[in-house]
Amino acid sequence: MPPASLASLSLVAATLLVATPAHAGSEAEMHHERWRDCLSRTFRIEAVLTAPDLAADAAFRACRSVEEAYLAALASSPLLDDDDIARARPLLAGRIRAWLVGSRG
Amino acid sequence: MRFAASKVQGSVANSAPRRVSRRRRVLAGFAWAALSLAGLGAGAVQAQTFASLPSPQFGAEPQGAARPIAAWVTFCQSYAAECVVDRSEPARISLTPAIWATIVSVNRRVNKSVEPKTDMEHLHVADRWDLAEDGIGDCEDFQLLKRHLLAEAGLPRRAMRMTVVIDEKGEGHAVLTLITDRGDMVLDNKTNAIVPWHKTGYVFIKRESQDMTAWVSLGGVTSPVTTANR
Repeated sequence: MPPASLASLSLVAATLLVATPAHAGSEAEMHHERWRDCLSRTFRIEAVLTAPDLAADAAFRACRSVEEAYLAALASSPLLDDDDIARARPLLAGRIRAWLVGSRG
Repeated sequence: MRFAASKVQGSVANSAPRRVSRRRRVLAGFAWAALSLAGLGAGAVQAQTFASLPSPQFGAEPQGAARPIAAWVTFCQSYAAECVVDRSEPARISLTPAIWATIVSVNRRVNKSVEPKTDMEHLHVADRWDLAEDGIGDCEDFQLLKRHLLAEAGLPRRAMRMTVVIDEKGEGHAVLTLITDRGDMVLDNKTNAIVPWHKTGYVFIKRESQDMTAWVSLGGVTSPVTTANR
């Protein structure tokens, strides 16, 4: 690759790094949104074939990795420690589950 | 944002350094302005009336000790008076129309006056707790300032506890819980509405103890009627 192109690529990469600083709060929000979307999509598909509670169970199983990514992002919050997140995990899931089943995703 | 020097003679310690004295003058000025506004606004427009407060509800019960937040520990070293728990104070606020008007006014005033900015953007640190003396702060700074002003207005600090929740966006967030005879009410910088804890939709993680300078777990309790998003 010519030096000029390499330099341009480096400049673009550096600009992207500066323009998108790591922000724990925003990352947690982003991952939470992804988790919610995964659950919603999967729930709606599963709910065609089965009862809402079972569809929710299937959605949570299918979206486990997305949930883990969200919890990892949440752990970077200075307000929360691992114990907090472990205690909150079932309640976070319960909150979304109630929304899924109540509003049918 | 700067406030005019207050006419109120604050209780500045004689040995307080100049930096602290100036800070206390700024806060005293804010307190004077807030109290004046509360006095003027008590009979005027109120977003939430005392009459509309709910009947006593159950609160989020502490469930054992929780690890304190590092930035809170540092805050308490610099602002010891803000963190001391005086067990001779009432553990519960008895709400009256006047007290409620003051709470509503201070909440709204601080929400309007402090510029929201993350600690990373503002101070280039991950987390720092203070009283937003320069008029800039993030969630915990809003609530710490509200508590400071409400304590200066005579409310028991012991009944006003910093609380960590997970909000509707799934993020860690700090609010101020007022433990009252009408239930636990939440002061938030995201809204001027002061609502019972179980109507926020938040997952409640931990809050300052009422018995000592420490934190207690709330076990991740949330509203009986939950929503994923508000």
